[in-house]
Amino acid sequence: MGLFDNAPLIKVISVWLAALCTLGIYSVLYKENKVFRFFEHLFIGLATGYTIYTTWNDVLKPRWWEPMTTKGMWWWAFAVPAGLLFYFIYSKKHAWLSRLIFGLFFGAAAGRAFQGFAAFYFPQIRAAVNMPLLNPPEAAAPTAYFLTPFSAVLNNLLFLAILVSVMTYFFFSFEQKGKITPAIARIGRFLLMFAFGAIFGSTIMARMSLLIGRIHFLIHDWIQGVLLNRTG
Amino acid sequence: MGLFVPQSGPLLWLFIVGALLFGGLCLFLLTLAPPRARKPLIAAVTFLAGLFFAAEFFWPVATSGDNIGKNFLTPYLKPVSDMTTVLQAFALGVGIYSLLNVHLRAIARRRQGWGFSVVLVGSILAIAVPALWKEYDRENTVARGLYTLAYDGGFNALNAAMFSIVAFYIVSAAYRAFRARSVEATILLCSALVVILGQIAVGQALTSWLPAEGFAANFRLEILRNWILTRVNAPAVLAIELGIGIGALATSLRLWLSLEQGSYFEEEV
Amino acid sequence: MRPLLVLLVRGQRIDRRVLYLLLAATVALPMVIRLPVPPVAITPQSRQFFRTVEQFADDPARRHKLVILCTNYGSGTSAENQTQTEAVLHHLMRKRLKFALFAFSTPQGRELGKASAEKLASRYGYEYGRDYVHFGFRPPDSVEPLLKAAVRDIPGNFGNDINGTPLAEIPVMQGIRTVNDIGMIVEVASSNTLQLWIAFFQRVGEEPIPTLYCPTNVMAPEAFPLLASGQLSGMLAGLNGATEYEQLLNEPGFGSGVSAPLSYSQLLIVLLIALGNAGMFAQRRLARLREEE
Repeated sequence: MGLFDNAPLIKVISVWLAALCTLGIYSVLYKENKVFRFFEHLFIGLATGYTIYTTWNDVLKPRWWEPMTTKGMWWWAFAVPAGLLFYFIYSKKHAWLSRLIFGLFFGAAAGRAFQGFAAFYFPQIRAAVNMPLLNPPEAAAPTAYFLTPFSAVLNNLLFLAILVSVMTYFFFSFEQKGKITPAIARIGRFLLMFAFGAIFGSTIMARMSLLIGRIHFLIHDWIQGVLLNRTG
Repeated sequence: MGLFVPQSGPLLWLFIVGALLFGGLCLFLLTLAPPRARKPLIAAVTFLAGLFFAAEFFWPVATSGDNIGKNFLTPYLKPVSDMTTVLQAFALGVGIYSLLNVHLRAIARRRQGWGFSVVLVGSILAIAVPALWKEYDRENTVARGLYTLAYDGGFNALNAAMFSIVAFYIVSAAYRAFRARSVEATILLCSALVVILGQIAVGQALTSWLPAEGFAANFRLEILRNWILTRVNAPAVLAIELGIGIGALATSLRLWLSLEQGSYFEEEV
Repeated sequence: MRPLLVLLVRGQRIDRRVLYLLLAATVALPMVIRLPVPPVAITPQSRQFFRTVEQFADDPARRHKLVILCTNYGSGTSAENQTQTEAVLHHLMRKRLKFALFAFSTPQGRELGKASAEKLASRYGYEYGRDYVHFGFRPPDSVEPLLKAAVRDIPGNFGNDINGTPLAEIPVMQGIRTVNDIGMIVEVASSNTLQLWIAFFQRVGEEPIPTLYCPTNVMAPEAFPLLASGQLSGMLAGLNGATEYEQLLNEPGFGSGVSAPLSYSQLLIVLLIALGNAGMFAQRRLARLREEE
């Protein structure tokens, strides 16, 4: 039992394991192989096991089991037959019963959608349509807008124009006829590409950051910290 | 509601068993429901669940007194959400059952690659058992040690490695697929290049000779990048999100009123 | 000219593994041999974030309020989110602000937030319970009603802290009762969890609560409309946002340490995009040349 009392040793072993797991996953970059398949299954298993643990420890135990068994709220027992409804999905004859509980969740999600939409989007719409289009708000203009400060109005006009043209592009409710609407929609499509470019650029940064995190672990924590026993 | 009061001692267990039996009886009665009653029943449950949250939102709230900002449904919001949270947790078993079903069968029948199924089932136990063990025996160093190995050494590292591997595929895609083949693709490419160069130190250095103030400053890469993000990307994203938001709202309404069509919703029950 | 075109076209057939190796080397080498890199320019959003915290800390009427720091991320994105969390914690602790940690997207966030706070606490003389508290983890589905109810009674609805102690008994929570006692919300996130704060908590008190956002870089572009509408008072976008914050605080951390690989790896992408396109044009040019011959 001495091994588990030795916290620094456990730490060293866990760094070794983490390094092996990382390299095992990266081995797929060379080609599809059995080592990768091993670590892939290990990952799915550990993720499932962790979810079981947190579902019990953070949801069912504090919100269902303890209120029911230690606080005397016996009515929580009704959750068992209600929860069992999910499992009728495996019964050919009574599969429809599972739809009752799915319906409950569909309905709840739908009912909640109204509130979230109103509180989240209305201020954004209000801000967009209330942008000053006549008097440049010198003091309020943040420092790094293009062509600032003399063209805050131009920038605001552009914001509105992009909003309208992109929305026009996405307007599928009726056929886009005539000359003006398709032209606006086409501009909207181009402008959308600008946004997608920006999103792509940001995604690159994000992905590189995560790779850097892993490689930093391999070099700093594993090679320098454990293999060469050099920290700092 | 004299019935719904907390109980203790043997009476509590009697009530729990009673509730389970009653619930079981309800389930049994539901299985006897005639086919023509099934769809209306599902629609009613869906509608009532949605109605609670919608009514809680739309019903006028008190503007003064102790209950300011609340209506008659607000106090029930927490218990109802607690219930949906708990029921959602029960659904986890469906996923685990499916996963175990596939892998335990593979092991039992020695299908090709059954060894990996052993790894999967073993690793579920390898983290769940010490994790739950350490919760019930907090001083136990064996449980803590095993959990640290499985969580820090295994799960965390694998999770981070899986997330990070995309970077490699992006490099390959950038070289092979990111081409200026059309006007749209060219715009996308230019915008992406400005954003990337504008967000990294070595890219910003390319235009760092430009003055930091005045008209010329607008052409510094970091300022161009910020302009694209705040003045071009922001309204475009807002337009997309409004479209998605309105679409989601419409879908919600259809689901709520059981008007949604498609294979799942139109299937015979 | 022609050999160059041929080379560019042949380059198109390069094995993907060579590209992978190139990326790994570009990331690893600057970590080992410490290649120099100039400091990254600070974006207006990061500066706004910094200013919002400074103004809050300098305002005697507000600085006694509680800051909620939400750590809604797991180990998958910890390179970005953990660096942001630590940069923000440095600022909060340096200004001696009271804060509460909270997580509701994954229980991992609870542990990661706790670890960061414990790591920095001793340096700033912060003590759990006296200077900060941890509300623990709540399942995502339960947070909307929790926030709605907490508007009028925070300790009553959040109940116990991470150790099971009632919040009402914790010293740092003294005087913290309603939404009006919350001074700032900082959301560090790897998924769409911000909406709950904005929709149900930010604007229901006597005055709007300044809300600060630390998303991963993948999510950052979506947040710009919220900055324009004033629903957000600042944003640290991904690892570079955290690095900028470390610079503003003059507190080099993980972000500043990996600034070189972050820069060079993206420069590699730019070069590869350029080479790939050059290859495409070279191919067209070669085809035309062959036709002319």
